[in-house]
Amino acid sequence: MVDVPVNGRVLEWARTERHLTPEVAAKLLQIDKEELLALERGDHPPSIGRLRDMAAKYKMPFASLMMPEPLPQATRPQVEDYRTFEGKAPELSFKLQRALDEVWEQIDALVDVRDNAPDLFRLADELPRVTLHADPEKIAAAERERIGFNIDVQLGLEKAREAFLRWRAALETQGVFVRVENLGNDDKCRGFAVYDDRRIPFIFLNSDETDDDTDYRARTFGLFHEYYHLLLRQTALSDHKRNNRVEAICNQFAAFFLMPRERFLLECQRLHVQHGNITEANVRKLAEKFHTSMSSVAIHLERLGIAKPGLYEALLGEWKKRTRRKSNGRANHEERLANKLGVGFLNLVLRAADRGLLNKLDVYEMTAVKPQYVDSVTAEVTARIAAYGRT
Amino acid sequence: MDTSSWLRIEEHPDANRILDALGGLLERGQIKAPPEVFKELKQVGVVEGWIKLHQSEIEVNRNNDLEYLQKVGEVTHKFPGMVGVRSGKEKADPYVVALAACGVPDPCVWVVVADETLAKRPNRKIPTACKAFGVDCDGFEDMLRREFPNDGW
Repeated sequence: MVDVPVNGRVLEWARTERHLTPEVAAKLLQIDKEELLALERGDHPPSIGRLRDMAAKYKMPFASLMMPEPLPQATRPQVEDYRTFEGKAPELSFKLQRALDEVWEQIDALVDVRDNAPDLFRLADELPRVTLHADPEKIAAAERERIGFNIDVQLGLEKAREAFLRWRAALETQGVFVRVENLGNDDKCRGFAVYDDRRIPFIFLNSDETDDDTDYRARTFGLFHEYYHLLLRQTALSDHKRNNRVEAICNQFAAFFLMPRERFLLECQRLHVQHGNITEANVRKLAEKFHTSMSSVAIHLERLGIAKPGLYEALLGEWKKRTRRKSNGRANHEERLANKLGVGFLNLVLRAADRGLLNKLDVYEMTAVKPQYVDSVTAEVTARIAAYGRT
Repeated sequence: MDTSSWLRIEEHPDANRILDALGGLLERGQIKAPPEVFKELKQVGVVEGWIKLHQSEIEVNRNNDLEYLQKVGEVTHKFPGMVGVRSGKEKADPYVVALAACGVPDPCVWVVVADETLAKRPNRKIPTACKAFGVDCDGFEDMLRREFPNDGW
């Protein structure tokens, strides 16, 4: 097999791009760590087979490993990291980095579409811009008004899934793209928001593919948490932990958006939730009523002075002991695609393809929709727009 | 010919007439594409019929040729946006440009045929990459008009 005289620094760059330590990468490649480091030092050239294997395991194009030099650091996606774990930001995992890179690619592709068909986009500049000094409660009230989602309608919805899909459609109508994918919990990352000079607002939620109402409620809270990062014009990784000031502010916005003070106090009265009788069952009832997470309700109760500080931490201790249910995997291919990529994104790509701006390969690369599924995915998108609102 | 050109033929109302015309070029060994183009076509179910029948005559596999592979790397480094350097997908574009730039399989002048236009972000487009590597690049219909000036394309 041919040996290829590649630049060892490019191999090192590729590994670090994927946040792999030499130990983990060597294990992945099934070679000794010393051998990997020797390749990266350029002590000897790898065989073409080894290079192809490396590209496949690093999930990176083979062409990238053939570059004469690594790409400059400045070309990396720039993300503010608001996650904290044991006092510092956790390392990015392979999975999270891949998700970031995929979203970057999607945004680049969307920019190309926008350059050719600006009318398919709602301009992101129309999203209000806020600062960290703004009052999240006031902004939440103003945004509810602007987006136009009636609180009685929200509370009248039966299912958390329906609430989430309606909220998602409402944000997609504002020009925000929302992707949902399960990255697991290794990164302590609940999601991320991207708003950079390309002006394509994008939300990524790390969430399981499930029909479980609890998950949908958490997803809805995450949606509005990330939305506030967009209003702040941030590109940021989130964990929703209160010990970070920015995360706490985004949490406050999401809480006041989903649980406006006046109505929340009224519902507390109706449910006889007051000092001294706050139980997990009460918290669950409120979460079910407002279609948001139990954590957000517990924190909201503390913030509004209905519960004593410490309620959330006490409940969290209990929740951590419980096992999470697994996905029931009932969704079909089209539903899974719409759940993951969002109706806004799919609809835009399909419309651009319809106009001849994207070919079959573009559609496949952007959405993983093969030509034989275009009609059924279009039908799913049309049905969701009819059910949950326009995008 | 890059992937977009083959897709253009497939969607063209005159596809059969185009393929007839390309038959002559094919006989003279004037149409070539790297394996990565066929992989992309296969992903969207286009490698069938005429293309499948002639794949072995069109495909040039130089993936053990170091000069060619280094050229692929140079194109990638210069146009990371076109290649999707950090993506998990192997795009055919840098292979098409490198194939033409290295003058393979025969050391004559090769022209890249791509059904892409220069939009506002030219650094992601194959014509810009071709220009940077001294390779001519034609649109698909331009190629038809140049090669078959009397056929009314």
